[in-house]
Amino acid sequence: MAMDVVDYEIFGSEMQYVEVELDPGEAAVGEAGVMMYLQEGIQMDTVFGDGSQQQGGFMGKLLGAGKRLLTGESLFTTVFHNEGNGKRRVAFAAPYPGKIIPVHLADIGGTLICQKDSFLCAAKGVSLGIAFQRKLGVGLFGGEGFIMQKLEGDGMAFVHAGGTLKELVLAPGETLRVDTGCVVAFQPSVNFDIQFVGKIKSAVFGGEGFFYATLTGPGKVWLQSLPLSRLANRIIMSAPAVGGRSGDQGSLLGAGVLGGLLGSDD
Amino acid sequence: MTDRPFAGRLFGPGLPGAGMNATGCWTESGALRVSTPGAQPAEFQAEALEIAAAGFNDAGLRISWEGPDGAGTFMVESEVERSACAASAPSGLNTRIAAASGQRSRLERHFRVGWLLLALFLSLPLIGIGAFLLQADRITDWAVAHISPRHEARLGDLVLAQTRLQMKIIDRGQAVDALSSIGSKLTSGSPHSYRWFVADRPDLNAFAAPGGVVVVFSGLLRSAGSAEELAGVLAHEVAHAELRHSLRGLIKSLGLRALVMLVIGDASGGVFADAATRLTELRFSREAEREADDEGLRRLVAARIDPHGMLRFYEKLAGEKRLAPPAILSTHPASGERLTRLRREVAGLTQTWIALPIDLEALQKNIP
Repeated sequence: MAMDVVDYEIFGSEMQYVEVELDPGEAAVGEAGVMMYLQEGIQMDTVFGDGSQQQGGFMGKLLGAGKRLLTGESLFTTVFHNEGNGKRRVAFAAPYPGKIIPVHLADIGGTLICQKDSFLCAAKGVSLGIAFQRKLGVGLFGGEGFIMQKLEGDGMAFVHAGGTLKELVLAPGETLRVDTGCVVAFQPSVNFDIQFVGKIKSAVFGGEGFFYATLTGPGKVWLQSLPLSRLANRIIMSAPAVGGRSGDQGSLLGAGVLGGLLGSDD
Repeated sequence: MTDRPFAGRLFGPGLPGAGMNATGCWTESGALRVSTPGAQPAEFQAEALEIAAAGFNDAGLRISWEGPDGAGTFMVESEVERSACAASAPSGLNTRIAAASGQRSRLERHFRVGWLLLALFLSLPLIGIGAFLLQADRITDWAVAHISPRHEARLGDLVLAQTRLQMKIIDRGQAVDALSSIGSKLTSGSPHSYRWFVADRPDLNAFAAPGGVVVVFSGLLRSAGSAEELAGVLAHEVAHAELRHSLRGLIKSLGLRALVMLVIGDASGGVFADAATRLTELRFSREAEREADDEGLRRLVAARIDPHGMLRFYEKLAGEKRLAPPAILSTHPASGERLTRLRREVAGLTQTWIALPIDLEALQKNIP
């Protein structure tokens, strides 16, 4: 299937958005709800499923939509089609602090396995599927669950993850131990497994949990420094509305009395 | 041996980190020849190759070697290419390729078994509900058998306390004395100690709570034509209490609700809080009513009270039903079938009856 070649530019540092340039007749698919702006001439069309099948029966569409529901995406994707004469731009914004990874699928062999819910947008023709984690231990303790997302095609795809992103190349046989939850994406040639931390003491008191995720090369992997769940935990922990610690580490007066009086805005 | 090529991805020193597409094939001499576009094909001797299942879900076949400037790997990922690779591989490598595919199928098997167990575990509550629904009567029988009359009486107290909040309960006086004098004839030999009450309500109703608490509404007392009619109603209610119908109903619904809660979480607040309320408004099944009719009749006959009174009262109820359905009908569905049945039973009786020494008219005048 011919893929649409898209040019892109990523803006921002910690809260990024990606601007995709579409030639006349080109199209991009975006996760529903991430579009930030579009220039004149771009038609927005919401399709059931992932928009990669040009034809295909109703059942095929339904299946695609079901897969998306499983991976935590919404049932519909939005297709942005350039109906104008010149180049037009459409922007997709990341939904939480982090980085957008551009991946050219053709460069990595056509398939990328990534964290569910991390897909942002792609050239039309990239298919979004699910990759079931078949190793039970990894599914339970690997931090990514049993359902991962598989992007297939040979165009550009944009994946989003929390914090700072690290792109690594693992040589054949090279193993990296990663905190569970920090794995964002990897090539299918990479072995994703778990390993017990080794000592009961560190498992219980080390704060890293009982298992590391291990990634064994060859291939490219992408890691995130701050999984959204960890960020959300920290926010909840310090949110007074849900019983968290109020007051920051400022002066006693500022935090305790005046902060309480002046700081609340509701 | 053919030299059908198979596609894969080559990783190694001097190549892009993400690898590059390549084709491999087994040569006549049993070596692996890997060719990439625009480069000289490289050959690796079979003895130097290491073969294992690797990659995401062990889905790929990893053929790796130690080269002079570092380790290299050829990954055969798709199933078609993998089988092409296996089909043409030199015989010396067959066992290792088979071991790799064995590892993959073992993983698949574990995965299936795991999901099966999980599905089974998740459907346990549903299975529990199913079993409960199928075996409800036996489970309730078992549970009811383990509740002593003393505990049942305590439940009765609870119901009474609830009822007192809703209506005025009279616990002494001429009417209550009359009820207990009829009742004592009907309840001889019972493990419960019966308590009789009159509720100041105009409805034509009466109910029996667990542990021998019987409440007759004043509306029913007023409309009774004779002491025998009253005795008929009491016999029916006593039968409910003796057969522990309300207790069984309570246990059934509690058990069901507990199971439902297991499945869908606490949907309705405290289960036990409103259980006492539910007791007062429990409806009995048609079977339970028939059982109570039979048992009531048996008790009437044993006490030598004329069962025609019971029959007359039921006929009166059935007649009134057409005008405005009395309250007792909503909780005691008196179907025509029940009446015919009772009629047939009563017609077959030939005993002599002893009239009840109760002045119903005086009693009715004194009802508050």
